[in-house]
Amino acid sequence: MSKKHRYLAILLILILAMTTFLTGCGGAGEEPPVDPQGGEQIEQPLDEVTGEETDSEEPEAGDGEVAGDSETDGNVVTETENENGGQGDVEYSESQGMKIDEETGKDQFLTDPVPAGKPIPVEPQHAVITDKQLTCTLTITCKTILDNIDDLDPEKVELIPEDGVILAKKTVTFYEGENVFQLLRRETKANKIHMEFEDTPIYNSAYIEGIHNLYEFDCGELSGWMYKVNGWYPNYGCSRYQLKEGDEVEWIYTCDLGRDIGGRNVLE
Amino acid sequence: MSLNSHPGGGAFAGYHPLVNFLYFVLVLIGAMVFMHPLSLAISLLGAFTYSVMLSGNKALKFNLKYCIPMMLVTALVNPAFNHEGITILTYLRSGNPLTLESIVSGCAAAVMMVTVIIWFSCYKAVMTSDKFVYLFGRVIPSLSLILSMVLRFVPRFKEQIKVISNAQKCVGRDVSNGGVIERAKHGLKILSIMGTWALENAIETADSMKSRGYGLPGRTAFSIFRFDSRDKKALTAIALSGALTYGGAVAGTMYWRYFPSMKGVDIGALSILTFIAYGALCSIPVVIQLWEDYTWKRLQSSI
Repeated sequence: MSKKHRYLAILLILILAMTTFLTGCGGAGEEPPVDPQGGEQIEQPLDEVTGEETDSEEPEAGDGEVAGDSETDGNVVTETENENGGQGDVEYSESQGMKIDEETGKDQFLTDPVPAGKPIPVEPQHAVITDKQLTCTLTITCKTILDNIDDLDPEKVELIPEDGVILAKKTVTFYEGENVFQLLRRETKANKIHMEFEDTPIYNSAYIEGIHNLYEFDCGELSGWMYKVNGWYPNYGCSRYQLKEGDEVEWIYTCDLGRDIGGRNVLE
Repeated sequence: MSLNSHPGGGAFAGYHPLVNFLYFVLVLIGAMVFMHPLSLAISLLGAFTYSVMLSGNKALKFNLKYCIPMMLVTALVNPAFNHEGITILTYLRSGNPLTLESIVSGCAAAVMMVTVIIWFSCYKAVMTSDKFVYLFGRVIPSLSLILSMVLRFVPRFKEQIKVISNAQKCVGRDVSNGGVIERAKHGLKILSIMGTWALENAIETADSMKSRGYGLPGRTAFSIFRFDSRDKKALTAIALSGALTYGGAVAGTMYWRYFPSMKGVDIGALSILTFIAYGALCSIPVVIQLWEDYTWKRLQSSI
């Protein structure tokens, strides 16, 4: 009697342990570098990540040296619309070093070309983070929820600030080479704001699931967090947006796929 | 309280199958749905006491030895995946927050899981397959037969494997004979015999049930279940406490939330009434058993 129970229990625990182990490993391995306290600390885990996830075709995006070595003729079709920042510009993106696949019209992490004049994605594995301190501003708001309060999960109503501002515009310090995700992570931690993210290797970026306990889908099925830098909603993940001095970063909660906050429709 | 084990299912198993079934449906749904810490505690206590009453030390050993580690694992796993909640304790290595709410809700889920398992062990002891087929044989003949066969499958398999293994032992070909490779070979042989037996047995069962006209209109089945006044009383008690509990739950007197912050209903008179009703519901079989034991002793001593 006790023997069969033992087998059962061992089996159950094994399964549980395996799931924990596997997911634990995944989380640690894909984790983009954090903590800017020492620039050189970060470089070591970077290489691990690169080895795991990126193939040899990886563009040297950070350097901006790789010129568009591809044929520009056949790429006209791949232009995509971006309401907020204008059209995605293949020629511009490639001249900046983005490697666009001719067949799909996207780069290896499924990103469309960026509009002319906008920064191209920088893979966090390639970013070189220095000790140099720069500043930018950070805002976190959820004003759209105020207009859609009926759609909001009733348990979360009490979380909404009266003016919809979770973090008022604030000048923050970052280290040269850091990206929007690293900034958000450090600042939410420092300001005791809850934030949960998930690594999505297919887009090579973190995905922000919830800030201040307001999660995606909490205010209707089209809701979630989007980010905006200098008035533009980038068409790639926040781990791939490298910050520059004076950038204005905003995290905004949308209840309608970005249409209600003047952004592009994330599904288009 | 007497902790004599009652392997036959005890006093409550002597009641009409309808009473048994209704009881377990109410109690199991309650155990799965009511997540208020107090409801969880009530249900766990009820299930634990009843299982120990039914199977004595065996149940006690099982509950302590396997359910507690299982609970610990569940409680630990939850915060690794769930990071919601306003009380941030610290940050995990992945960078996501570890919150008090996720830990507590993990514990609650663990208690819920264990409670449901224990209730099911009681269900197994009380709702034997003849009772189940008696209740559902007419309404859903094939499904109820399949269910009763599926529920019997594992114990039956185990018995048969023991028979085969003993037979093989006689000719020196059991898993306890020989070296490692030999043993593995013997084990496979036993499994193969087992598979053949299972296939053959399934066909035999199907033929046998068919030849007896199972599921045909007009077929009657012998049963010795009678719905008497005792069942009526028990059914009333179960229905009453069940209605109070579920009514209260619908009205929100057992409301509790874990996210984003832990908050529950203000404990008022109505809440207390609901919890008392739930406590009564969870302890009905135990009370019946105790009453039966007491009556038996009293009658004995008055002889």
